[in-house]
Amino acid sequence: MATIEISGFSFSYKGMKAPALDELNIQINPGDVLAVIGLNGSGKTTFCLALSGLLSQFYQSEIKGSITIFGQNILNTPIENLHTKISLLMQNPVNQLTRMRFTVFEEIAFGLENLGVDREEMTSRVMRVMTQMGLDDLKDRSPSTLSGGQQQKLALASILVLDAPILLMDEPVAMLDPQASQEFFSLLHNISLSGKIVILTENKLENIPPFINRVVALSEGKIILDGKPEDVLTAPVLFDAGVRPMIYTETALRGLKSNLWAADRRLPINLTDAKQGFQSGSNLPNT
Amino acid sequence: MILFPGLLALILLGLAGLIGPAGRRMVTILLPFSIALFIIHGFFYPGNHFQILHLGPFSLGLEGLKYASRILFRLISILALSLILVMTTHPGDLIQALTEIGLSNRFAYLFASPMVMIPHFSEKIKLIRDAQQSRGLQVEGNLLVRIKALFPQISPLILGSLVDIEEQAFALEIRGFGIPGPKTHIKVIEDSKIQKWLRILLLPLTFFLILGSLIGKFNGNN
Repeated sequence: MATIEISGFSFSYKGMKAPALDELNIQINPGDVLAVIGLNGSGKTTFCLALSGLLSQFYQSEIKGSITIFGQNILNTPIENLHTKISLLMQNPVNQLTRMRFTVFEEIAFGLENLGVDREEMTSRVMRVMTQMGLDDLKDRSPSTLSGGQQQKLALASILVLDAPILLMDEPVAMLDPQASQEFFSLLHNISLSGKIVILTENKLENIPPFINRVVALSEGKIILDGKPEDVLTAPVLFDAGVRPMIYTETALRGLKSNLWAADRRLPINLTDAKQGFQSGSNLPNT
Repeated sequence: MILFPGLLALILLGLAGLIGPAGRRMVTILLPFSIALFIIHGFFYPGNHFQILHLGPFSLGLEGLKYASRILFRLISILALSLILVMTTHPGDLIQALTEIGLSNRFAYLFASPMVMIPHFSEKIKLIRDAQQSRGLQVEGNLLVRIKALFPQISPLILGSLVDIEEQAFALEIRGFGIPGPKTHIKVIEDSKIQKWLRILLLPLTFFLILGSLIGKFNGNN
């Protein structure tokens, strides 16, 4: 059995005719570093809420199908029993933080306080996560005085300390500048190497980090593609659904029309592949 | 009697070394309010009999001024006591202290959340005002201009806040906020001897104030 198994899952918000998620079927296994992509309104955030157990807990609407995590149907599991299985990072780090804690150190400890972890263990776990996230120097700073990038790192640290095996992130770099995004993804890469299942949503393909090994595309609440990044991110059906291709893919698609890109060559999803493709197509100067 | 809580609050603010900043806040809030209060009640209080000044067709009555003073003293008491809480107690400490005496997390948060949200709302209001100004909204000028500018500022604030509150509720739940059972705390809240003694003294004092107020009411004295 897969770690996460979603079977025939459908959900509609109250008063909406069209389902936000429609007949989803997907299995997610250890080692999966998954990006869920799609336009705004395609169902990405609802997917996160469903998987984290919040949807069934907070919304009084009809839900069909099932979602199991480690064999347990989360749709009828109280949210307080799920925090050890799955953690969710919101898009806006400001809302992820409690606003009730003086310092970064205390903010990270908040989740452990709720679990009733004793002070000694709590201190050691918080210190470990702070070092892992590079927050040691900010230990005594007030969370509200941090930059957006630092706050997002803190938000990640605050859920990482709970040590759930599944990390779910809803557009985690949407509010960060390119440098902060890169730093954040580099930390996330290390976390994914530790064996956790990492799932993130994104609407800009350029923001998908290179270490992702599986991509699921959503359109109008349905899964339209599920596979390796190089296949999904270059699939015409994705662009037909309105998703803008990556700059490398878009340039190669133009190159195809003017015979600068070989028709039998795979479309690129990174600079290296794009460069190689155009050089071997060879009407371009070798720069 | 009516002056007592206000005076006590001012003494406590003085002890906490906050009389300066708290005084400035009180003047900023209460000055425009008290001017309006004294004008309205001074001239238009229905029980005005003893007139001390005539301005054209209007007369300033002593009873109205007394009534306005009573309201002002009440406001000073409420504001000073609120400022003591806001300026000396971090909402996080208040929530922790309340849960440590056995109240539920949710109740403690509900109690302290206005204090938690005020700085966030202030920042949000500033952001919205800047954004609307950059789109040509005039927010400064006479009263009519300011009133007109209110709606384009308030509606995004309310809608945005609803989204924020929902997200924050989710974030708290994800971090185990609703888990029943005992909590632990990484921070130790100091409870000094003077604080303990003050609490012991303030409790009967509050009781006597309420009793005094009720006796005053019973004797027909406001």
